[in-house]
Amino acid sequence: MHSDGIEVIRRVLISPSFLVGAIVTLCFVVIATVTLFWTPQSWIDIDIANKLARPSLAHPFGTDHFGRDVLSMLMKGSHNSIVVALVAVGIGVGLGVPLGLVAASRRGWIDEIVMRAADFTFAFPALLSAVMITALAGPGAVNSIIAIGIFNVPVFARLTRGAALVVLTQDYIAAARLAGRREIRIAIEHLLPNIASVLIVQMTIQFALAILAEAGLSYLGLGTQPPNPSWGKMLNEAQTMIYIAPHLVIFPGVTIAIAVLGLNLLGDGLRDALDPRLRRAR
Amino acid sequence: MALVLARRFAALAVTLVAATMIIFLIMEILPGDPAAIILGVGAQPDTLAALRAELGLDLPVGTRYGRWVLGLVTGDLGQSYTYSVPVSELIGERIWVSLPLALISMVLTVLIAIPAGVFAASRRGRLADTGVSALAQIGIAIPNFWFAMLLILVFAVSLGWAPAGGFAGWDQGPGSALRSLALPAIALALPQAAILTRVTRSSVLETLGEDYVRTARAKGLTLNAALWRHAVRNALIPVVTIMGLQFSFLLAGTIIIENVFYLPGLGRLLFQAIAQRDLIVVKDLVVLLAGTVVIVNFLVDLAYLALDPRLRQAHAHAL
Amino acid sequence: MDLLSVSNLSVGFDTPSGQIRILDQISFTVGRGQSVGLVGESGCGKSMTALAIMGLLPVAARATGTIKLDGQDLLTLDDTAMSGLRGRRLAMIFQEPMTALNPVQTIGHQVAEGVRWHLGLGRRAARRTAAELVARVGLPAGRQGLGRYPHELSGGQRQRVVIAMALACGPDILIADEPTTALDVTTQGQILDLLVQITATEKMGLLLITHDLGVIAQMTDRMMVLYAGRIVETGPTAGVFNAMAHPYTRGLFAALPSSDLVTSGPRGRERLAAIPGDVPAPSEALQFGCAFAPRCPLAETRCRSSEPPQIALQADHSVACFRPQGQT
Repeated sequence: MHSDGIEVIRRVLISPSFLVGAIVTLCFVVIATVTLFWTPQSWIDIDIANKLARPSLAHPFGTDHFGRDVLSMLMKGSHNSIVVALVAVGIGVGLGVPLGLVAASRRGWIDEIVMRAADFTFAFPALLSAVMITALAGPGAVNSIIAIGIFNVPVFARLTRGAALVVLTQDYIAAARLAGRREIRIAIEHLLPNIASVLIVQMTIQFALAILAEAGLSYLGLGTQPPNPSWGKMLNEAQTMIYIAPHLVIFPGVTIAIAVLGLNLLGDGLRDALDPRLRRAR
Repeated sequence: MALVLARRFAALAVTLVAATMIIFLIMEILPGDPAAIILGVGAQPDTLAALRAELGLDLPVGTRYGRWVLGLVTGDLGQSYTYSVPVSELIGERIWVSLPLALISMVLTVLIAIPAGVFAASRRGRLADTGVSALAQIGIAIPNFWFAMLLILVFAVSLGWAPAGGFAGWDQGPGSALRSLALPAIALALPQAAILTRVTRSSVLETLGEDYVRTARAKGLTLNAALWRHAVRNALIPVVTIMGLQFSFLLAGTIIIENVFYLPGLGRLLFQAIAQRDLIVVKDLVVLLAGTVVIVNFLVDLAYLALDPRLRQAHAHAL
Repeated sequence: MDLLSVSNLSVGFDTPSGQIRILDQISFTVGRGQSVGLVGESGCGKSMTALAIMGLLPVAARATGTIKLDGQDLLTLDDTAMSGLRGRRLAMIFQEPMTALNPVQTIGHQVAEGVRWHLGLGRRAARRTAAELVARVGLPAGRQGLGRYPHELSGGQRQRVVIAMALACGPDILIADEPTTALDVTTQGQILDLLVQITATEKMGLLLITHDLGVIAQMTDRMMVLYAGRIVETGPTAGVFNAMAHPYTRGLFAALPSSDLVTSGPRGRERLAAIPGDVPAPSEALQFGCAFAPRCPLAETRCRSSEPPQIALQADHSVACFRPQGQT
């Protein structure tokens, strides 16, 4: 077990996708943390005299139609993306993992209901439903979190169930049952640690998808509301000025793409390192 | 074969009915009284009640569901509150924007993704493979509405090859209509193609390791011939599955992309209907979109039958 | 000149921790109309020998030595040139008929593919040839027969299809890698009979690979016993069976079900009860001495320290062992 752990760490460290993904993700976390205390300019103060300025030393990414510093808005916008994605994935894990564990250990009709519900949610365009929910329940960060979060639940329920079913056939589970352990304890002590790696990989990928979905919703005006900046909304505003200030289109999009790319690479790298199939074929 | 088809049709019917029920329920649960929305704030209670009676909103839930489904089957989709025209008319107009858009982008997706995925798989681990895989990763990470704006920036603003938005209409001739659809279709296709490329690549890599590919090589087929004649067709089964799933993303994508390009399609109609609380339009559109997804997945099931003769036996279950 | 002549063939894999040898300096020949058996437990390098001759080794494998077909060294040919020989002059039958056929193509199409590819026959002519081939391996050849898919056939029928595919262009050398291992007992006999009959009438050279000495006895003129990548005993089949010299050959023989030489149980996968232990993994074997020494009941000190010499016993019968058996 010990040398296995070392082997995983070694393979993770030599995987280029993991390295690039981890560095990019770490950069975003550091920048978001710094933003809590400091941004190069104010992200909220309006400076009409200086509106739609091209990139310069004072404003490396230029200014928007209110003269606000784009770099600072992007930095501040990272909070929005991170919070929305974090809570949405949290909802998915918090509800989906227990559902999957229950479905796997109880089987029977509970299993059937959970899985059919998951099938149905999958067949339904997630963004379409998110648009409906946020539009009818009212736009805003909280509703967009819920809308994105709901569609993470079946993802994690299915994944947990599948992984747990494999683990449940192992001998040590039978041993624990014979020893009179209760199902819940077995699930927490034996199942969770064994499926944690699969869950972590999926969490990074869902995190990336949540950032994309949030950007889409706030682009449509259904996500975070002013004055808080969000990457999607910045793109929405930039589009109306595409002829006069094309630079406004570039930076938010690049930011979203790099953040999502970093998370996806991180997830891919982790999966390659943790995939038991690869581990056997060393 | 006939039995297999009958079973699939039965499953299709059940799913469609389930979809209508769920959508009806969601719309019931969501807040908002259509009559109050039509009359606006400060409407008199008795006018409100009269309108509710006229719209049939005071009937029991079961009756209203029955009427609605009956309307769906007979093509009577009801009247839009805001446009004051039959919903079927609204949809009939706009489907000629959304449908071609979805089809063109699906074709683009396939034309890009399958050759790229097969090519990458056949060059596994080499520079070309790494290059294609890296491009696919980037394609997945780019939000499609941002890519749409970049396309506008380059091809509409700078080069002037295509309009930045709007739709000329088919009566202006197919040329200008297709020109308005070109950029939106490309923008929609990019993330789909990126995902499908990855799926194709890994699926082909898997079939390349199969014994029958080695058999084909032992017959004397070159690597390329064995790849295209034996590995690719078998690899298409998971690819088709993902294409079916992608179709629902494509529909959702049209909501955003039609807004980026100001295309008068179903996505934009849905978005506007939601904004204006035109609930009957929302309900009908959502059921139409969901129904399309279900039917597309049904067609995917049928495609399996064409691709894999093993499934044509009656005892074989759906994948 | 021999039709196929393999000399000093070694196959190794490059790994991060050095090269691993799968085959070590093996040499043999197959003449026209001759049937040569290669026997050993799984993991000893039998299939690698076949793949090396076909030029279908995994990408990471390196082959050295020579493999001459009519005097032409196959190891010097590029893949295009090899593709021209595969299926036309060299053909191969695989172990698993369940997976060797493409599940989504009809058997007619798959049998015809070889002749269309090599001989450029049109669709109709190829179909006629396919029908002849399918009839020759004892399957119904009508429109019904050719239009069937692999999943509609039994294991034995599939193996007949695989044989028909191998015969398509009239090859000079047929390599059969455990052709009956995956089949049930009665089918095994039928398939072996078919192979005997076809190689005899076509004057092909047959290289038969198996773990089953019974099949070797029934089918081959000459035999080689392979252990951990080396040929430990070789000679005319009758001669070797009359005087088995290597302890490993004797162990293989003792492991046969005594009642029946032809078959070895329903799936032929029993462990060799008479020989304790396993074939060493390639990374562990071939260091010092005889690779069989750890499992050998007769091993001495020298067996573990130095490589046993190749000793000629009878005409053409030789063994690599310090203590050959039955020689007095």
